[in-house]
This record gives sequence, C-alpha cells and structure tokens, in this order.
Amino acid sequence: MNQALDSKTLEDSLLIVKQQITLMRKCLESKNPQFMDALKHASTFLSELRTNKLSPKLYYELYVLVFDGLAYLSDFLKESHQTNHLADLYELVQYAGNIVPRLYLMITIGSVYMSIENAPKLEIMKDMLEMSAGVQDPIRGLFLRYYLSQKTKELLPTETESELKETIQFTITNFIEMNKLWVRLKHQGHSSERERRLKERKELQILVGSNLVRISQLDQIDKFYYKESILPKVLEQIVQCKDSLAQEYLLDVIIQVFPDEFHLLTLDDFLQSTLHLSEGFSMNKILVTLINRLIDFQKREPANVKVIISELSTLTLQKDEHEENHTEESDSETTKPQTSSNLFEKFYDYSHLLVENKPELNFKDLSLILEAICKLSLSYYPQDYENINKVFGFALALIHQTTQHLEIWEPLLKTPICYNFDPKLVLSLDDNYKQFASALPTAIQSANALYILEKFLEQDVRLSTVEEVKTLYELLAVWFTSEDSSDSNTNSLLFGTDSSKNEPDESPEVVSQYEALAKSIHLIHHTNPYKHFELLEIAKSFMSKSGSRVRYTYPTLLFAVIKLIRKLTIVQKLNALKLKQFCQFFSATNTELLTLVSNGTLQSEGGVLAQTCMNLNLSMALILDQSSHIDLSYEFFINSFVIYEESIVDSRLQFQCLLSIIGTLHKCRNIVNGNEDNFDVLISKTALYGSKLLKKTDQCRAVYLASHLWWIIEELDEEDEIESETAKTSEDELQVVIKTDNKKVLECLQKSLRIADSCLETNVSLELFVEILSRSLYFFIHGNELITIKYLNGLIELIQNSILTIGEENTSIDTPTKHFQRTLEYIRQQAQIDSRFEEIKDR
Amino acid sequence: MPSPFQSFQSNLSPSKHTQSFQELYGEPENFLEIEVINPITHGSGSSMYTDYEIVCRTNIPMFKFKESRVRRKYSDFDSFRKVLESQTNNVVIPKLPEKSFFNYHRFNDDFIEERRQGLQQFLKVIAGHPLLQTGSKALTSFVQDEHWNKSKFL
Repeated sequence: MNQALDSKTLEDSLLIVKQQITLMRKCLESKNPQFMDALKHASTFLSELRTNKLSPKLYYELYVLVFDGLAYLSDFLKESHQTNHLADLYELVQYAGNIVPRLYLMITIGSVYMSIENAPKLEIMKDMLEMSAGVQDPIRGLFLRYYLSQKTKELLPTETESELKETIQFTITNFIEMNKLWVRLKHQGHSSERERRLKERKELQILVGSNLVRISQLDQIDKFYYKESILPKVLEQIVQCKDSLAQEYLLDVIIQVFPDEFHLLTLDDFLQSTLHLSEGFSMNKILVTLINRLIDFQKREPANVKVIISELSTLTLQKDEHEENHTEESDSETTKPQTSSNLFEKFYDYSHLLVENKPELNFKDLSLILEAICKLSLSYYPQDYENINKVFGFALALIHQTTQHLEIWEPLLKTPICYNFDPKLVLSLDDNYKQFASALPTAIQSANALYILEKFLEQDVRLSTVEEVKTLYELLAVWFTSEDSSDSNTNSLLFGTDSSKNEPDESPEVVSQYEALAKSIHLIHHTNPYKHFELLEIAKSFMSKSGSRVRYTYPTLLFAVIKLIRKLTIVQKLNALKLKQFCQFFSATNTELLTLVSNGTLQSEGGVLAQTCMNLNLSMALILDQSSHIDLSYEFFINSFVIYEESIVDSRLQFQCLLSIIGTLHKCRNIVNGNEDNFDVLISKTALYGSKLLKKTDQCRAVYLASHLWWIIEELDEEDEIESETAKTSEDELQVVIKTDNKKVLECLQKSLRIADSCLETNVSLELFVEILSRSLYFFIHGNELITIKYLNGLIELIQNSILTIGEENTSIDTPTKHFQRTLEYIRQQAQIDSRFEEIKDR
Repeated sequence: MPSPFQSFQSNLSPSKHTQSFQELYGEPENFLEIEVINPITHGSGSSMYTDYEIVCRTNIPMFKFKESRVRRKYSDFDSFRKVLESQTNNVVIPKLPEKSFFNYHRFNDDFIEERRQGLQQFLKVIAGHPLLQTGSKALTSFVQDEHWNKSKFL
C-alpha cells in the first residue's frame, strides 16, 4: 500500500482531532461549560477512529492523540459529576449517531462513573464489556477494547473475593474477544497480502497481551486459583485459536508476566496444552524460555522451589486419590497416570510425547529442548547423572534417524561440561554420551574434546583413578585416531611420493589440542607414586595411538616420570625394582620418539626433537645421579652420547647439545665420587666431541667450557658448611672440592688457545683470546696452581699485541676490546683485596 | 434527581449464546478471491486473439475447487454474460468493458490492460453475488472448469 498516502491520511485525521480537542476544551473550560457542545466535538474527533485506511501503527498514533483528548473529558467529568450526573450521561451518549464514538464516550463516562464512591462498578464493567462487542472490525475493535482495558485498569474492584473473580472474568473475557479480533485479522483482505497482514498483526500483539499483563498485576491472585481458574481458560483459547503467531506470542507472555512459582505449579497443564498447538509453531522458544525461568528460580529462591515442589506432589497425590475413588468400582487395575513431582521426569516424558505427537518437529528444535532439559536437571538435580544419561540416550536415538545438519547437536554435547561446575561430571556419564559424541562429525567431536579438556585444565581437576584417566582419554579419542595421518599414508601409497617430504605444518587446531593434551598429563595425580606411575602408563597407551604427534605429548610424559623419581628420592622411598621399571618405560618411550627422527617422518623438526630426546636423557641421568643410582645414570649419559652421535647432525645443534651435556655433567656429584673412572670416560668424550665440532669458534668454546668438568667446586652457603664434614675450606671461601685436575684444565685451555690462534680472522681470534683469559682468571682465583701469573701475563700480552696488530681504530674489534678493558679493570679491583693479583702485569 | 444506573445491554435482547471456537477463530465462511491476470495474445493475422487467466480462491462449497486457474477469451466472457442474463431475471448483470472501436487497436497493451481490469471488476461483482453463487451453475463452470462450453447452459 502507498505509504505516502497513508501518512497523508493520518496527518489530515490528526489535524481534525487536534482542532476538535481544542474546541472541546474551550467548551469545557469556559465559565459556563457547554457540556453538550463539548460532547459533540468529542464525537467528531472520535469519528476519525472509524477510518479503515490506516495501518495499525498509524492508527495507534491517532489513538494516542484521541486518548489524550478524552482524558480532558474524563477530568472534567470527575470534577463536575455533582452537576452532571454520570448515570444520566451514560445513558445520554448512547444517542451518539455512530457506534465507534458512542462506545468510546460510553467507556469514558463509565470509567469515571466507576471511580465514584458507591457506583455499581460490577454492572458498569459488565455493560461496557458487552457493549464493546458492537465493533467487530479487527483493528477498530482491538483499539476500542484496549481503551476499555486502559481506562478501567486502576478501577477494577478487588476487595472481596467475588469482586476479584468478576475482575478476572472481565479481563479474561476482554482477552478472549481481543484475541478473536486479532486472529480474525489474518483472514481479512487479499491473500497476496498475507505477509503484510502478519506484520500488522505483530504490531498489534501487544494490545492483546496487555490483558494478560493486567491479570498478572492483580496481587491478590492465589497460585491455586491461577491453576484452577485462570490458566486453563487462557490456554484453551490459545490452543483453539490455531494460529501460530498468537500461540507463540501469548505463551511467551504467560511465561514472562506470571511469577515463576505459578509456572512450577502449573507445569503439567502448561506442557500438556503445548502438545496441541498448531503446526509451524516453534516449540523450542517457549520451552527454553520456560526452563530458563525455572532454572533462574531455583538459583534465586531454592527454598521456595522446595516448598512448591512439595505442594505439587501433595496436589498430585490428592488428584490420584480422587481419581482412584472414581475408578475403584469400575476397574481397580487401571494404571495410574504417571504423576511425578520430579521436574526432570516431567520434561523428559514430555519430550517423548512431543516427538510422538508432533512428527513435524525438527531436530534443531529438539536439540535445543534437550539442551534446556539437560540444564534443568543440572540445576535442580546436580547429583543425578542418570538424568543426563537418559537425555543422551534419547538424543542418540534421535540422531540415528538423520545424518543431516548434525552440527545442531553441538550445544547439547557441550551442555554437561559447560553448565556444570564440576567437570568431572562428564566422566561419570555412561556410554550414551560417548556414542552420541562419536555419531557427530569429527570436527565437532574434536572441538568438544578440547572444550572438555580446557575445562579440566582451567579448574585443575586431578585425575586420580584408572577409570578417570581412561574415561577422559576415551572422550578425547577422536584426536588419537586422527584422519590426517592415515590420509598421508594413503597418499604416499597412491602416488608413490614420500608424503613425509612435505610433512604438513600442523593446523593451529591440532597444535592447541596437543598442547592441552600434554598439559593434561600434569593433571594425573596419585598420592602413591607407584600408582601414579601406573596411571601414566595408561595415559601413554592412549597417546601412543596418535602417530607422529606423540612428539607433543611424550616429552611431558617423560618429565612426569622424572618428577616421580625426584619425589621418591626426596622421601627416600625409591625402590630399585620399581626404578628399573621407570627407566625401562623412559627408555622405551624415548626410543619411540627417536624412531620418528630416524625414519625421517619429521624432516626439519627432527633435529629439534632429537635434541629434546637427548635433553630428556640428560635430565634423567642427572636425577639418577642425584638419587645415587650412578650406574643407571651412567647408562643414560651414554644413551645421550649415542643420540648426540647418531641423530644430531646440524652443527649449531651439536654445539648447543654439547653445552647441555657439559652443563649436566657439571652438576653431577654422586657419579664423580662413586665411580670416577666412568665420569672420566664421560668428560673425556665430551671434550673430544668439542674438539671435533665443525666451526673453529665452536670448537674453541666447547673445549674451554669442557675444562670446567675437571674442576668442579661447590661453593657453600654458611649453613651447608656445618652439614658437610668433608668440606675442605680454603682460607677465604667455603667450598667443597668435587674434582680438581690441574693438568687437564691447563690442557684444555691450551688446546682452546691453539684453536683460537688457528682462526683465520684475527678479530675472531682476539674475541676468543679474551674469553679464554676470563676462564683462566676463574681457575687462577680458584687455586689451580698450573695457571700461573706468568701464564696470565702471557695471555694479556698476546691480546694486547693482537689488538695492536689489528689496529685499535678497527671497529670490528670494539666488543672484544671493551671486554678486555673490563677484564683488566676487574684485575685491578681484585688486586686491592687479593695480593696474588698484584703481580699481574697491567698495561 | 439523579436517575439510577441503567445498563444499555439490559435493553437489548439478552443473547447468552457462547461462541464456539470455530466461530471465534475460524476462517470466514464466504471467503472468495477472484482475479483476472496475465493476458496473452495468441496466433497471428485474422486468427489473433487475447486470453486472460482467471485465478480463483474460495472456501464457498458451491465451487468445486479451493483454488483454480483457467484461461478465457473476451468472447467467452461475452457468452457467459448472455447465459447469465438468460438464466436470471432478478439480478442486474453488470456490463462488460466496451468492445474496441477500431480493430487495429485490439492488441494494444494499454487497451488490453484496461480490458483486463474491466473483466476483473465484472467477475468480482458476479462471483460475489449471493444469488448467483447459489443459483448459477454457469458461474462455477465459467470460473473453474478447464473448458467453457456455453451450449451446456443455453
């Protein structure tokens, strides 16, 4: 329809109404009020409401103006009712020529009349209500009845019980009539305008709903009266009007405006009636809203909920008895209708009824309803996992009927974990849940798995039984049987290409999954370390299925083992037999990781992984040394060397690995004391590796660092000194000598000096010289007698000469020069407290 | 002296009839929508003619179909009107739109549109007439039967 034309019509009407209101007010406000003339003006502007050219929205604008106009009239009547007797006026206006103005005037006067003391309120109400039936055009009728409802809302009598009932009856009747007009509107006009009609009806819905709001505002209504006399009447209309817009809107209004306790009490009636709603009605919206209300109610007033539920059960009991009395004579065997006061049962049974009675209901709606039921159960019966199992059993049955749009089930899948405070709930669910999950697409399964795991990590939920570990990893099973790995295998078979050549960068999803998975290993916990170990073994049995991705999880697993050994060492309860088992587990796992490196699956990543394997071995060796299992420790060192020799090819990595080896060896105590021969084998080997590195600089540094392995001195805090009786204290410092071999140290330093000297670039040599000087000073301070003043002076001279040769101005030697200056400065400072330094030749 | 309250309703005949749900919410019983649309010109030369689609939606039991679409020429309307005139004597049958003055003008778009509107108006009046709805077999046949055969009714 033409909108411009519409608003033009509206403007014209508004103009007339405004004029007439002004005229009416003039009549009313003059010294001698011209009441009859005022009524005439009112009647004239009310006639504008007879139009059928306006859409509901525009009609409403007109109505608002008219409403304000009539308010002046009302005010006047209220003040002057002594002179203008209202009963007479009420009769007088029925002579107005047209029905619409007549009824508006009648309601205006009638409502003022109702406000007067001792007025026959009930009769006036009834009369106005019945007269309003005179307008049957939907839009005009709706607005007229809305006017009736607005004008009377403050005046409806509620003092006595019978008055209250009349008031409720009045409002319900008005509601029924308005609903009728509203529903009928859809049959009006041309069928091609259905869409527009629907839109108009939506604009009008609030008028119809206002009646229900009105009822809900009557505080005196008792919930039992609501159950017996109000709700059934309203629901009957809603069901019978067979209009999905009306049903959806009005049910929503009922849920929104009445208190939660009413809903709880009338749940059966409400649910029962929704089974009879027309097709095309979107059930989930109403149910989800209702359930959410009930959940909030439980959260807000748990005590109140309890009271009502108990009332509910007595109510159903009474009903049962009542029914039994009836049927006793005819058939005592009749099965009682399933009446339970368990909310979950109610909704669960209802969901079955829903599926039976409404085959057209789509799965999307069902999934949302089941999700809501699930939440309800978690909120009302948080301990009753059986409920959740039931829901998933049902969902499983449903999901078998379809293979389309499986993604709609994802929220339901997540509900138990996202809605419950204790993530462990998900571990207590039975197979239904797992089967349900595995019926969904892999992507959803993985996402859910990650979701579950993150919840566990977030709340730091400990897994301390075999069942818990197993169940959790079964829930994550979808990651272990990942398709990609099998895909790449088939690819390589099909095309004869080595798929490992382009080992795909793992997708961010997979990485985050495995990151979480690795973290999950730290959740495993048992107070008994040996039990704890068994749990780790179980975890490994799951992880091992993930192909090359074990590289993400195994290292964590191995650290967990190391942690266990440390714990046992501290409490001194390490059992040798068990330790062997730990070591076997460790080596086996580590070997599996290395296989990934050696079979080349990982390409560039391989080196890093090999380094990790080696470092893990070193950590193991160190912890074994600390727990005085020096033979086992030795074994692990040897293993590390094997890895170094066989799997570390990159020269940079080699250097880094060597640093790790040196560092670890330097920390060892027991092996040095217990079996020095073995230790010597290890450190000589290390020094040898160092001298065989590719780059001269690396060689030089590795060798001078290796020198420390022959000079292990532990400096002690004062407290420690008392404990260690063997400590040989030198004059100045408290230190325990672990190993001192003057000769070997000197050899290493000499060797590194030779390597440094053989560097082709003089600035690099210089840099290394300065570094060696620092090392030499360290040994000098710590009392290595072979590092003499002469030796140091020789080094300083060497450095000074080579600076001169290169030329001080050469910027390429800025850094080593500065380093050297600082070293000399250090020597000068030391000279003040340590007389030995005084002889060092200064520049 | 103020007179006592007197309700209007009590003056009217007391109708305590409660409405059934069908009455309250059902579709009205005399739903009828009729449209003439979609004119198409067929043939060429002297055998050229234009016909129109009659779309009818209704729930009046007299009609055989709830929804129907048939095609009729102007001459069909003309003969239908003659049938109606001969069958009824107490109903004023509205006129059809004028015939074209000039033959060359007949297939002009504006002319066809004007005629379509005229035919639709004519049919709305005829079909909406309660006496014709119940009394005339020709009406339902013309509006809904696939082929219009005037001879059946003459």
